[in-house]
Amino acid sequence: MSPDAIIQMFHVCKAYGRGGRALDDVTLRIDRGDFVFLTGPSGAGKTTLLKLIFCAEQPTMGQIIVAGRNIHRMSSSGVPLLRRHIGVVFQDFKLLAQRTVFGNVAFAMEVIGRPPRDIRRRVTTVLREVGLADKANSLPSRLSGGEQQRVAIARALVNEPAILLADEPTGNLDPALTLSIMGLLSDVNARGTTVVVATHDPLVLDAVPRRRITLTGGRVLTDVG
Amino acid sequence: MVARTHYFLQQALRSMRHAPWVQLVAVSTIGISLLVLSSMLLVLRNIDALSSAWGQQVRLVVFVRAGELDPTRDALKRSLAELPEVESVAVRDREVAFAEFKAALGNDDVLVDGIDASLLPSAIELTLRPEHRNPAALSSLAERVATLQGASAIEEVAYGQDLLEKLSKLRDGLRDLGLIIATLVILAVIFIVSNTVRLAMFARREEIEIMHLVGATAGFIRAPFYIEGAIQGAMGAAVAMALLFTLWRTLSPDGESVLRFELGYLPFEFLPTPIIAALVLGTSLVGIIASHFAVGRFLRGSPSS
Ligand SMILES: Nc1ncnc2c1ncn2[C@@H]1O[C@H](COP(=O)(O)OP(=O)(O)OP(=O)(O)O)[C@@H](O)[C@H]1O
Ligand SMILES: [Mg+2]
Repeated sequence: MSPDAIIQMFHVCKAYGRGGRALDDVTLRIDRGDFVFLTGPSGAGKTTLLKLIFCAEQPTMGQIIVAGRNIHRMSSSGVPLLRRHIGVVFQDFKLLAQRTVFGNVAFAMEVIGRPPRDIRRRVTTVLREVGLADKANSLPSRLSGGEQQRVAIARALVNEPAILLADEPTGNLDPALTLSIMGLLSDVNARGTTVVVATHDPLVLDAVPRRRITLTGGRVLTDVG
Repeated sequence: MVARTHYFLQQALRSMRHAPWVQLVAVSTIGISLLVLSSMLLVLRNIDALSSAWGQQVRLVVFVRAGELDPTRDALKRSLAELPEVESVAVRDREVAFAEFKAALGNDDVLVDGIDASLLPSAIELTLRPEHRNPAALSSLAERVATLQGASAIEEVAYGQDLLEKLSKLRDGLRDLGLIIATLVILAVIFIVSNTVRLAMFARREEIEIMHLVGATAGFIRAPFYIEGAIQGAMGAAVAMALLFTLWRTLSPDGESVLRFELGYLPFEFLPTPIIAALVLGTSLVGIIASHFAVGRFLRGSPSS
């Protein structure tokens, strides 16, 4: 167990119900400050692997250590606390339609009980970082897809997580927006956050030369970079 | 802590404002169910008041066998006077009783012409100390009197027990009925609140999903819904109290705690404050329990919990 490792998996298997294995004997290690692509064909197990990291699913077998915590031995009250160290971004943004950009980002701080004064200051900073300072009072429906994904990224970052997980973050975006979102994720990584991006979009993979873990049929096929 | 409670309350009220008609239906249904239950409590309470009022007026009368000699009677009187519950003892003399009897019959003297005063029983009237003027104390005292020394001279102990017993039977019957009604009302409140809370959670399912994702604790996610359940329960109970009070004022327009009739009056008190408080708090507690069921069921079905 390396002191630099922030995510470690040992012989992890995951089967949904009685179906086949979505993940099969996966062992990997991601260090603090890494930027990692998780790739592979549809159904390879990328989403499943991310879900195991933020405890949305439990492994059928094997050990997973995230930010120093063994998630197998974690109590149900430990899950929320672990998730405060992990930001998650999805293809479909998951923004609240009736809240403004500011409201959506602030929500992530409100619901973990942060005081309003901290929220105002921190949300303003994050919105500036993702380039949306001037859209703070807009509703998500008035934003482009790229802007909406920036809001989702701001929300994922607002509690200063050590890890940012992104599942097909550019799946709904055109090439220009895709490149700008990837640029933003690189910036986030440059500020010290460990970033894991699941994608099968070649444009994304070629945009930034990074470590690339390729899954096929639930197994790690290659791990390069 | 205060800030957090304020936040939960705000969230709960926001969620309730979101579906005002659902809230209105829920609160008025709870209110009507509780009105039934609290009317029952009002009746029970006044039966209690009635029996204790009667218990206060009633005296224990010990009838001494006709033909017993005066010394026996006087000895009995002394031992009755020594009983701790007894405040005073008075002998109603045969002759006096006979005279009263005759007077009551008016001009029909012929009816009593053949009767000798000594054939009438004499009676000892016991007045109880105020703290013992209640049906329970009366009946236990009556039992004890029968075991006193010289009790063989007693023909009968009377304190209006028939009436008090009838009243207490009625009271017990109503209490059993009340328990059944209370159970039904609790089930109804649980049904109503858990369904409205489930609707509220469904309306906020996206927020709940994000709360899970960003690491909100279970308590943080649940608290607003518990508060919603508590508010619904308390408001329902408050509506019931308001309706019951209106009803009470209508029946007793002077705001008096008695109903007056030609021949007398019946006690008609409103529910005492502790009972009102217990109803309101109890219903909001049932509301919280109902929310707990709804929240648990909803969250078990959610993917990222
Ligand atoms: N909730 C679930 N229940 C049952 N089976 C599932 C579930 N989620 C995923 N699977 C199965 O697990 C396997 C891996 O799915 P996963 O979503 O992890 O793949 P993926 O690599 O993310 O694919 P995609 O690129 O299409 O998003 C698939 O065979 C899928 O059908
Ligand atoms: Mg996927």
